Amino acid sequence: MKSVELIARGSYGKLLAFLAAWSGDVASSEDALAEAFEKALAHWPREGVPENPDAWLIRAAKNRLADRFRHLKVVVNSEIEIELRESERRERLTEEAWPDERLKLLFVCTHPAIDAAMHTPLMLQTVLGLDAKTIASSFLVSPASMAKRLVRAKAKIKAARIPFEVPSSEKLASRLDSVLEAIYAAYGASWDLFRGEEASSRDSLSDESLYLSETLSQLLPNEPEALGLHALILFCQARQRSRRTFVGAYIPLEKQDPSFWDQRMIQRAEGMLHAAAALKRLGRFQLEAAIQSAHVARIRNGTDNWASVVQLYDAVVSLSPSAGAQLARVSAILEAFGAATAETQLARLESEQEGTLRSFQPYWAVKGEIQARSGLLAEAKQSLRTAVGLSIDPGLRSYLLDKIAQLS
Amino acid sequence: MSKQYVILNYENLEVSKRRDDPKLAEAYWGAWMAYVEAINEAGIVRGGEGLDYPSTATTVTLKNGKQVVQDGPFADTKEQLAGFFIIEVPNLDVALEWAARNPASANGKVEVRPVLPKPTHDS
Repeated sequence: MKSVELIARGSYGKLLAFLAAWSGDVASSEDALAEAFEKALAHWPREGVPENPDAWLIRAAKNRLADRFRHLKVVVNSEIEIELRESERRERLTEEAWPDERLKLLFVCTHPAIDAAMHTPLMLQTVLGLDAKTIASSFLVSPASMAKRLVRAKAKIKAARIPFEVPSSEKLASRLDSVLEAIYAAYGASWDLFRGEEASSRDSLSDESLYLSETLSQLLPNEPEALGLHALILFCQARQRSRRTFVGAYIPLEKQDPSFWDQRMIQRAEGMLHAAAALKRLGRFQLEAAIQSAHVARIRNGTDNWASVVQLYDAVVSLSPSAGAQLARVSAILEAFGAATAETQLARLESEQEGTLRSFQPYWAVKGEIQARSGLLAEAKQSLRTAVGLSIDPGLRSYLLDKIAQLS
Repeated sequence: MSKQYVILNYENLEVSKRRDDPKLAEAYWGAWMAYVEAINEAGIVRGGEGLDYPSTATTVTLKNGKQVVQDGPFADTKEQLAGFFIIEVPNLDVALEWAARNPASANGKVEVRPVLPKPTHDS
């Protein structure tokens, strides 16, 4: 039945967040909510969709949870009875009786007590309702072990009583970072992986990350980095259709056709970035969004602004010196100041973290590009071949192979 | 502690035939050789080979006490075993990363299997 699915898609995170915040138990809340949706599938087609479907689902799920708690005798019975009667009364009173607890759930999923590698998967499952199999594919992990890790993380939330609350203002900045990182990682996973026949699941993951960043920017309108992240994802999403040809071949940034861009999304992104800047607290995601804005301006107007892109990357790297950001900076230096300067910068990076770079595809792609522009064709070919060997994306692989062929 | 895994690349026969197609051979081998070089460079390879066409295979079974020898591979599937690597890596996640980089993952299937530990007879 269509309406149940639509409601599930729109409300899942909100309903689960509410139940989990109420019970402190994510896993049981998930089970109870799943049962409530099943019940809805059985009842609604016969009896019609209730006037307030969310409230109906919450009540059904709460009853299931209460049954479970009564059975386990873990919570004082009378407390639950009062709460249940209370929620029924509230539900009759008003449509919007359910506070949005998704923000609290996001902070729970990215709590420092939980393995950082599980922040994003946990968030995707609880807030967005994605199944373990889809999440596992996005992160190149076996579905069985992803499911196990999710169960373990949820058990930890319950056992350690990780609080369902928005951190106090002095802790908010550092805790918010983890939330932003997790959403950005979800978006990154949707980009990094090319899944030929499953392209739709990639699209859905990028849509979901966009939706999460939008939600977060609405829930925290005074946090510039939340707005910055939303602007960044909007910029990237707006250019999505210009990144590939119809047959999936890779198109590099400078060759992208602006007429394929989503102009409304770009406008929204620029607006978001302005709003963030007005709050006068610069951060990594605002800088990354500003870089995207610079790319858009350059390709649209044909003005060379690589020097300012380098400046923005300098700031990004000083805030968060990831290998990806460092290499993007070197790449911008190559465009702005030429191969010799880029070579020096790359050599410095190599001496700092040689071990991690060796299996990092972007490193070999950037190195090959610098060597090619320095006229070191044989070396360039060898680096680009290593980049091909480390590529997961067949479109990128054939793009690099073509480039190698052109060097001959 | 490292663990050994076998990466089995199953290739679509149409894709395997590119090996001998003058127009497509370069791209085909380019992708494979780059992968082989990268995985060797990582220092994790303990063995591996590419295999000739499935049509060159011969399958032997013992049926009711009688030997049966058949031309061709044992399974008539669209994707056929085209090669394998034995790698030694810390865990399955790392093995899956190399499986994803395997060119056959884009136009066939790549299977990752732990190598059976050698039986011990110390007691």
